[in-house]
Amino acid sequence: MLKFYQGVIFLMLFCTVQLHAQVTFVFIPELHGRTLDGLLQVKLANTGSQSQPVSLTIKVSAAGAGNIVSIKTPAFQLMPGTNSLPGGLIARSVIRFAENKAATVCRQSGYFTEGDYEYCFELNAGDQSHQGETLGDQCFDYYLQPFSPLLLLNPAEEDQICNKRPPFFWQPLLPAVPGVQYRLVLAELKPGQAKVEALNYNLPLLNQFGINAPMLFYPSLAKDLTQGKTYVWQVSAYKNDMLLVNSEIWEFTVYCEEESTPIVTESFRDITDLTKGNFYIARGKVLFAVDNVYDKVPLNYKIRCITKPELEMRKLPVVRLKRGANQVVIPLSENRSFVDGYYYLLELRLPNGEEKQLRFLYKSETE
Amino acid sequence: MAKVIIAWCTCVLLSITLHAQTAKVIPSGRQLKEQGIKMGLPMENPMLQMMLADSLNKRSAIAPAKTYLRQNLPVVPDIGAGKYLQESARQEFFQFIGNSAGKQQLVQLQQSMNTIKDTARIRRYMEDKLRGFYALRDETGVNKLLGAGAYSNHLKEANASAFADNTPGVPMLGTSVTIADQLMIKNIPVNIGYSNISGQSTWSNPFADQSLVKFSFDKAAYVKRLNSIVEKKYDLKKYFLKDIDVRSAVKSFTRNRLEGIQQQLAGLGEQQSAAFSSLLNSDHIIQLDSIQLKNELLNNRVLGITAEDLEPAVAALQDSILLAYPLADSTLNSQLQHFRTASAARKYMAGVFALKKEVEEGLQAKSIISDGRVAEGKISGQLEEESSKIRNIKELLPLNGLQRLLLSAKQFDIGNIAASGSKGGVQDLFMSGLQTSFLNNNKFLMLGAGKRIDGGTIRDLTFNSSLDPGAYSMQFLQMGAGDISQPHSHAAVVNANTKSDSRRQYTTLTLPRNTFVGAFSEDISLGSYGRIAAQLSKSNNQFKNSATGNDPMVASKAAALSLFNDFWETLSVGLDYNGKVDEWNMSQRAYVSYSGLGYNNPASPGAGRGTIRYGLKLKRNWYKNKLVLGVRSDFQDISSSALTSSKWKNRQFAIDGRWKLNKKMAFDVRFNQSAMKSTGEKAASFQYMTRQLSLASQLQGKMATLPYNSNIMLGYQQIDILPQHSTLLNININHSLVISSHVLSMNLFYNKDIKGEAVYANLLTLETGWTYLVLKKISCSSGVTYLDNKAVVQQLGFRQTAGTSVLPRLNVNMYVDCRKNLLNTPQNYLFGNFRSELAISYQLN
Repeated sequence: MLKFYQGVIFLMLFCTVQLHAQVTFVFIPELHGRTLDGLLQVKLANTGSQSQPVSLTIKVSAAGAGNIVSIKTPAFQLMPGTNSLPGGLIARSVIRFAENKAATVCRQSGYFTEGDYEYCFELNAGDQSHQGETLGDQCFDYYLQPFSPLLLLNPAEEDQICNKRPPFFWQPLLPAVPGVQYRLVLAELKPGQAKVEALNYNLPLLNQFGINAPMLFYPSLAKDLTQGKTYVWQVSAYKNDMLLVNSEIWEFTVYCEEESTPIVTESFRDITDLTKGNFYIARGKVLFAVDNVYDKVPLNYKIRCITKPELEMRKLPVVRLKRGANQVVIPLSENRSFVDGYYYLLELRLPNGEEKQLRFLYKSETE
Repeated sequence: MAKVIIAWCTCVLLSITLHAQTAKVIPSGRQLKEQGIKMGLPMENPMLQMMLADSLNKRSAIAPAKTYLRQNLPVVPDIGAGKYLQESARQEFFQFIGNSAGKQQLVQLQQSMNTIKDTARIRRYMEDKLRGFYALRDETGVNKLLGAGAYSNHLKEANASAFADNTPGVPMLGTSVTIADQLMIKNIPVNIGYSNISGQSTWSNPFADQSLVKFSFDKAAYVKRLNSIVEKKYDLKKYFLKDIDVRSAVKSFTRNRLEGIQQQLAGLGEQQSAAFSSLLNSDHIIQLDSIQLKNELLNNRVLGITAEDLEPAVAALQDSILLAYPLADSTLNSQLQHFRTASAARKYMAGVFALKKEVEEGLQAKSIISDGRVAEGKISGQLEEESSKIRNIKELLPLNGLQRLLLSAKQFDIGNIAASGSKGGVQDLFMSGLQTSFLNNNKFLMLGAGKRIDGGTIRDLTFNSSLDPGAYSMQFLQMGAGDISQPHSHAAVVNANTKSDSRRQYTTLTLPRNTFVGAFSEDISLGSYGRIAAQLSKSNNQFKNSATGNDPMVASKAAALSLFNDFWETLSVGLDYNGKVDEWNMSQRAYVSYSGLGYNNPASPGAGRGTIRYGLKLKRNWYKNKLVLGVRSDFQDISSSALTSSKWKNRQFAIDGRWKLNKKMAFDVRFNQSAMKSTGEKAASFQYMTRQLSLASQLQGKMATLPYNSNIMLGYQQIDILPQHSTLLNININHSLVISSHVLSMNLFYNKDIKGEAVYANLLTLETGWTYLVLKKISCSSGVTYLDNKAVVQQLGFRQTAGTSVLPRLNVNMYVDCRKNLLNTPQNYLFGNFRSELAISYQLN
């Protein structure tokens, strides 16, 4: 079935029929037959050698609905060779809509809806002597199915991803029209920018044309995306030099959690001062400063639970002391023996034989 | 089905609007608070006035003697605190008004005092000015303060970058310059954003460039700047009389008077005197009513007063007996003692009632003591709110008309800007023009006008026409109650005309038409349950020189005149609910929308036509974010025919989960499926379907003693684009190892098309990198790359990056990727073998 359509399309694309007059019409219904404005993209090929005043009438009808619309241009000069319709002429054209549902939608949106259409072009002489004489007429038939919207899939809207070279996926533009390709733009979204601004103001990181499948693996030549930054992307479907449909603009943020190295913002107080205070809150870890005049040695320490003395202590992390001043961090958050709100006693034996005891309240870190 | 949904939508919309209307009748707590603020401080209180005047009198007495201009200074009207001011303080006060508000104002004040005898307005004016005078910190003329730094400029950011790339389908050369700057003109900060992008493509176009510029008024910086001047000149705590302890002043006043009454009582026994002195205190006088005060007296056992003793007839009798027996009489002694006490009690009560009246009516003691604004801490909290800052600025600084207007402005953008209002009106519109919005007393107004051209931009150089009419000139307006980002009810209109226009190679040849859109949007807060936004939008389109049916007249009508034509075809309605349930750590969204097949809103480029769309999003986390689960679905039925029920049916479904085992280990699972199906007479089949499952892990650990980071992603994807069926399997490994101060990284990506139907042929890419420092300043990374796209292209190359800070805040970065093609075929339409980038950036922060 699809092949049949492709065949029909092929015929329409390349077979512009030579008529009895010198004028033929170049019209691609699969592109230009979709909108009212598209009808005026018709090109007139004049094989004659003289220019003459003419006027063009376009009539569109659909099976089941009858007439939809007719457009009549004022007189204009037809030159030898291929003619496009002049812009000023279009502005002065007269449009007549029929009274049916398909015509109503066309009148409101400018788009033709699904149907079996016939597009007829008629060129008449516009000068006094040949008033009304038909110089060329031609009809094109096309079963029109409006394009589906171009929908993005992945990375999902406002998603946070860890991949710095993400693949992009979207849904293809349907119905499949031969020669349709995709273009993907990726740009950074700077703080305070709107998405559309980001696409226009920032140099795109990717602006890849000529994509045939509805997906793009991150180009191997391109630089990695940056941790913490937000990006916007948009896909456009086009054929040759005509933009067909734009997708929405989506954004995503590249963020890998494990890269953030924990920064210790709290200060390290000397263990001697700490033990005097007799009250210490350990938020996920115990921090203290200690001087070691001896060589490198593992810190000799143990922790007991005061709130629930029977609580079994799991293996405590090994902490090494270096020579000189040490800032000791004993991480406890991964150890399930430590319960939020329980009191514990840290007993440590320093390399110089000194013994210290620190009572502390354990608080789990807030996420 | 469609009509049922539409009817339902309309019903819900109506009921919501109704609800919103009823909700408005009962003001919320916040509204009451705002009203309270608007009413001003309790300056009417004489106690407060006296204290304020007293403090000013003292200040002017202490201040070194100054010679004042005695010319034409108006007389301070004897109202409010003004009547307590001494002469020297009055002189200083008018000097202050002249300095802060301008000499002109003094003249105006004199005139208005002479002509209008509107004491309420003058009183209010005087009270505000007096508070300002009281709070004056710096006597420097306000114009001098406003003048310092009124014109300034500071560069926030400047970037320049360039690239060269030989990938097919990618522009060959590109350069970009962006500048972010802030200019202060007459204390009005304007942010300037400038961007120039230029480039050239291999395939067609000559070198081209595009400059965009945007000027936007920076409201936050404006308020900050003016507020800093206010704070420099005035002590805001004094302005709100926060330093005056009215409460204890009233209490001590009452206490002193009460003691005076007690001292006047004579001829009482020791016991009775003691009883009277402890009978009532200042709180009793302020808080209790007269019956309660009387009861206090009657309940006192020591005094033994009865209700009869206070009866006028009894009182007269007792007094006459006391007169008859001025001396002690042994037989009547106890009786006379009682009469004396009763007489004293009557005097006492009369004094108390008089005091009560004075305190209550004169000082308004009860109200000032219970006034929350006077209570501790409230005022300083409000000082931080932007609305209070704006009010203080308006009251205390002499601003010109534009400066005043800008205090109510939210936004003023001009240039190449993104315009956005509520859904159904203007949305995500990029245009050259201007947009401005104001918010004053909770009333919102947004205005804008501009030109939209969809093509001809530097990134779209390839396109010279588009299916949509790509150029419009338009004007829009949105107004209503409430701020746009807060719960609100707004109405909006958009008027647009297509333009036959061209920019570079891009031309639009369109049939001229006029489109008008009218919209309502209602955003309602459901408290802690979230927000619900409803919108209704209606469009109408009129082609120039057009006629319908057999109408012989060809006309060019304004679309606004027949807005209600073709109602259902050009209507768009939507409901969107966003909420959170904090107890469950869950957030949710649900939405439903309908738009008619003829709906056409040029100010909202993303708006769909002929679509019924509904969807649901849920996200919940457990164990302090360690486990996160999200589900979302989106359904769209897109009508394609006006006559039949043909439509595109799109179904999307996705689920994703994340499990963070600990700080070093996290796993992700994602699954999504989406399908587009066409239904109708001609075709009924799946046109597109994809299913994707991906698993990812992020690990951190140590390899021997070397810390490493590892991200592994596995993907399985089924893609059916009829008639092709593909199944892709891909793996992406990203591994980095820290070796002393260096990082060794490796990235491997492999994609295999299992069915070999080549939607995307097998692809292998391998990249390595080694970071190091050169000359202690330049951080570099070097690596080898390899790419193999089966039977299409095979490449081997190297990649180099270098970056350094030339000056503090000035960074230079360089990137080169250069490869040798081991194999290249004509099917290669995506892989180039050279890319280089250079970026220079200056950043203030």
